[in-house]
Amino acid sequence: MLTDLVEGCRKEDRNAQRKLYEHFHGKMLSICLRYAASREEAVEVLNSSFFKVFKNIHRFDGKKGNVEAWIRTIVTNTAIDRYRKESKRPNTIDLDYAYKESHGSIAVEDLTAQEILKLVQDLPPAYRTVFNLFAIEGYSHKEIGERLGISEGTSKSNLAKARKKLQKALSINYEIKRRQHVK
Amino acid sequence: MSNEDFFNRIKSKLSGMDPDFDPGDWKAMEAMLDRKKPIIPLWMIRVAAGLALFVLGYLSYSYFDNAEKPRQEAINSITQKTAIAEVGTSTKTKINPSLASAEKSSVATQESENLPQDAEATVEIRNLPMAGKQETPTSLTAKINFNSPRRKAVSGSFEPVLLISEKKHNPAFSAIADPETSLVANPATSIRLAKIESPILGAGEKQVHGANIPFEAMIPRTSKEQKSWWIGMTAIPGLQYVQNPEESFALGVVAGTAFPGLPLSLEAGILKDRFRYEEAPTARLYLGEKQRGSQGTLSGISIPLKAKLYFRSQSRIQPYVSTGLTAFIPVKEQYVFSFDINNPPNQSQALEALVVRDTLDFPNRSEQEINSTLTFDFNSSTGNITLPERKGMYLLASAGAGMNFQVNARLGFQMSANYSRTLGGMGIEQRNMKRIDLGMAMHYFIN
Repeated sequence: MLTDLVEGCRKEDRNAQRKLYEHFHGKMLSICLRYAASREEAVEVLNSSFFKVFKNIHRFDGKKGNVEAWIRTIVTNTAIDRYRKESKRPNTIDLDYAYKESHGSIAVEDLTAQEILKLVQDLPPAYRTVFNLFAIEGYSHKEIGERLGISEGTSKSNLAKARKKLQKALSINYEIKRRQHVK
Repeated sequence: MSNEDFFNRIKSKLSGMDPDFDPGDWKAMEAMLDRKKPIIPLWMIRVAAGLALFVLGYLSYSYFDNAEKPRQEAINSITQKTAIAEVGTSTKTKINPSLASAEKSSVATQESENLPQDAEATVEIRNLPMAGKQETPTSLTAKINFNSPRRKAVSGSFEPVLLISEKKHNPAFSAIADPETSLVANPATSIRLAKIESPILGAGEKQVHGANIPFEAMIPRTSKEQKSWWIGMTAIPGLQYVQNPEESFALGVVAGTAFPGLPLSLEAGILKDRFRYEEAPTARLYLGEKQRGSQGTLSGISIPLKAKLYFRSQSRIQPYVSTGLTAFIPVKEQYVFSFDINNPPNQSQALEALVVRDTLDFPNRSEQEINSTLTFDFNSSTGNITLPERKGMYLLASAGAGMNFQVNARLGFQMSANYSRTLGGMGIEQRNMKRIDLGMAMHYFIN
């Protein structure tokens, strides 16, 4: 079925394009959501990625890999490119969270995926991107450094800060939920 | 809780996400796909820009070609008269040397009043063989240039370089500049045999044997945004021995040591009429990991082939087009040289990036009798220059165009634009490397 869709996309068949888009929409949007600060931004990244997919589908070789992995690579690269462009602009000052020590392990289990995603999206872009590449995509710090144009040390530092902020945010969320539950 | 555990928990939570499909997302996608293509496609704009440049070049050519004619006619006139006078000087029976000298001197004086300074010098020198004891030329330069079958010259060039790169490691200069080092010098020696023709000035073929010792000093600076700047200077003092050529062939060897790199190359080329072919297998050092201290890694051999075609031109402007193909063959075993005893490099450190530096050459540099040369060279480099994969050989194709503009006998400019990108090779995947070089060089010849 996917092969037919890819073939249809090669012929610029709009129906095939829609079906392919719909087929991978959920999986790819979930990736974009992690890299973006909001759903609107995530959809922009998603559509930019699929635009590249449709325009370059003739380059895809089914013998070398599956279409999902190919689209996923394009989506990740588009998200990283966007981050790199954004990072050239001056960012707002990164205010630290004034939270207490975390209950990280408990909080992760206690929060929904949507709530955790919100916390990830609230991270500063530099921390969020490194966190996604390392913790979710499984890249090494060296690879992250090469992709983002930063040093290995900066990548490690950003990851540590991302974790710290996430733990604090998880902790405060956990505390709020616990109090609501007690009431 | 360990990092790994923490991240795994978050990953497992997030991996279960599957956002619902929103038809509005597809509408936005469809709108993007339906977006009208620009009325004028990008390639047409590029072609138009190229044509505009060509027209501009042609107009400039016409202008200077016309401006050149009266000057050439004046020189031709003087040359003819000089030739007659020379015959008289050698035979002594048909023409009275003193009369010939007086006649020629008179013509030269008249003509030289209407000629630019460099042409005036030419007149004076051509008067020299039959000038007589009473007439002492004010300059020997032109005589050495045009009348002597064998002549020597001392040349030197100084090339301030300003290079801007998006990457902290700039591959073009990674052989000579370590971003962690404040100052890097790159002394190297070269011995070169070259033959250079002069299509602009039409002064005939010349062969140049030379020895140069280039010194390069680079001061790298890194901005907060991880962008790098290199400011440096290349000094190439040398000796050149010029003679009339017998064959259109050039061969040279460039070898030497560098800090922290070791450039080693063998150059060979053929120069025939307007066609210029260059071949230069080169082994170069490229830096490995960013690290305190100085370190170089012999990572491969690059073999560039380059051809240039100069358009016929009798004016001071000489346009050309060029194309090239460079093969880069990584060595399997990397040789790492460390200059920091306390912090030796890791043998497995990988090559950061590579771009073959495309230097500006100035084919007319040695065509005149030059005692020294001042060169100002500005290069900028942009594009994606990181090589994520480092396996096997790859090819770098390039195409460019430019023009030489000789304002007068001393002052010359060169402008060039070159685009290069990697091609797949030997069954390896294509490397995503692009490079644009824009160059402007100015030469000022000091007699």
